Amino acid sequence: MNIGNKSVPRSKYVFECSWFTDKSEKHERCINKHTFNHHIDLLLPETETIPDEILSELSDQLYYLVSGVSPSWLLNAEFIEVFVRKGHLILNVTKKTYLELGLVGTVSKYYNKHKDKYVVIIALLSDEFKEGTKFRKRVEWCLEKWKWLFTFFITWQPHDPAVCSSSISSYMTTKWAVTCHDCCIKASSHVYRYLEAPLVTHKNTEETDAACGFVKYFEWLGAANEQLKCNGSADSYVNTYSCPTPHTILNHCLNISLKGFFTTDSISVIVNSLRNKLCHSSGKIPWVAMTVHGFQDSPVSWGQQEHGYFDSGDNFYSIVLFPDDGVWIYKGLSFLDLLS
Amino acid sequence: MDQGLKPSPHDYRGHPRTIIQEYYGMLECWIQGGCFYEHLPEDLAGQHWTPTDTKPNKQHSFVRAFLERVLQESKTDEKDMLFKYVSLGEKSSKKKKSIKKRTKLLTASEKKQLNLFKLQPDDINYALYLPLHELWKDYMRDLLCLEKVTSKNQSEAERRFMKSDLHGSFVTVIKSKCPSLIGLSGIVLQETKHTFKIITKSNQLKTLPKRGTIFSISLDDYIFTIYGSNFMFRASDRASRSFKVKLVTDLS
Repeated sequence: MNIGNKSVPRSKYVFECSWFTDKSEKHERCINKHTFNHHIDLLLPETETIPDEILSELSDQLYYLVSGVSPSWLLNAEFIEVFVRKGHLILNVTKKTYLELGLVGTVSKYYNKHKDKYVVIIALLSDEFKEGTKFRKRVEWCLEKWKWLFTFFITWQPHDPAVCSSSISSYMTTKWAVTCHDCCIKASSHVYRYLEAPLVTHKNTEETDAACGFVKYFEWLGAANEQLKCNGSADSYVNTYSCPTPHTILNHCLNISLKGFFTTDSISVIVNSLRNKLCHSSGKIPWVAMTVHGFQDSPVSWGQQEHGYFDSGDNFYSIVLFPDDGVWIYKGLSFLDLLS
Repeated sequence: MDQGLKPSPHDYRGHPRTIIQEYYGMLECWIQGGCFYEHLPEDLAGQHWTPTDTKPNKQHSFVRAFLERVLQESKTDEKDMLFKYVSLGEKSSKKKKSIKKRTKLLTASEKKQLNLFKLQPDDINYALYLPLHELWKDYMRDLLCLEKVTSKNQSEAERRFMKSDLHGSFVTVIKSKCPSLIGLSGIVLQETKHTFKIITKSNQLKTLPKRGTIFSISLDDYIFTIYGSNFMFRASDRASRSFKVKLVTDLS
């Protein structure tokens, strides 16, 4: 299908159905692989107020806007020792820069045809990158000669619960002499009244007379998260979408939208608190949905793999929890992105 | 030719006319058939038989034509022929021009086998080549006259630089298709059509390909940038070559 000679962005969608208590912990793995999270949407049926656990988790979360950081500072041995437990330095560079950079990389998947972009990956904790090795000296020399200064969003997840996550900002201000701007998570909520919602159960993934399939459900979820009107009437904006059948009417439905920079740990906390809420609701709540969007233009997404922004930029996952401990996971990726 | 060796006209041996006469006589003799054939049978012998007049004429014209054909090639007058030998069977061979023999040089493969371009391990020492570098600097200062270079005559200086000898210059790779070459620098020891061989400060010999590489050479306050892909000539060819202005779009 072509529209005006421009092909439609290609995307991949992956659906998984599992159990919360399953040994494979698919939802945990999904959360941990997706590290750069920008936007969280929660949809809680039969709820009017934001759960306290989520509020307390979010109030602690801070992320920092730091400008004027040279990438070579990130290679500092002290910095790596204190703040990095696992990680890579990934540079996405244009061809012009790559020819002068001096570090070996590979051609980007998305620019394979013209070889215009290259990806350089440096494993910070590998043996060859230890203090005093030839490779380390080479990398330092290559990065220092550029006098690059970047602006970063930085957030840090302490390895030790006793350490405060704000210690990274004090380190940066003292050692690097840069200014850190504290950024808070922006939260907004909206309560739906008498919302038409599709009937779904964990078992029925395909569409039947008794329940909606996952395809129609996730389509509706996207509309509900964005607070679109789904009554089927055409208004000033042409939108004739209506809630798929069979559907029920929810008396209240709380929609929370969070924007910022989230660590995987805080997302796990949110998921666990949602599950607790579901367990204590005694069957009143049919399901709870959480959708996490990554940064669309992020150079990496799933499992530190390269992400194609200009292909579609899809970079999200949705987790739906059911009262019987069932979990639906729905992942969206750009066409050439890989999950692992 | 030595006068004494010239045949005298009285010496009949080998004289062209004599040879012709001999041929002629012999042919006549065959035709008469006196000694070559058997006697005619008796019944025929009585008949009156006379040889036709045409036959000897035919033979005569054949011999003449034959001789004319052979002798024409030697382009000699009849007068000259009196004093010269003319061989009828063989063509006169022209004198071959004497070719000066060149002194034989070693071929490229032989030079390689003899390791003529390989340095002995003792000679791989950066400090040894510093005087060469100083020498090159003096040579370039003389050649380019950098003090006199202005924006107007810069292109002329560039042209002179292109034709100059780069042995002994200190080159640095600033851009390359191969990332590990970037940053290598050293004194040029040998320049071939496709490569520079350099010795680095850490006493290592490195061979840098010209294709897909950009070099920089600094001399006093000037920095020269060489696009290796457009510089693929032997040093000796480069000196006599006129370079065309080319747009550089990509390393290739």
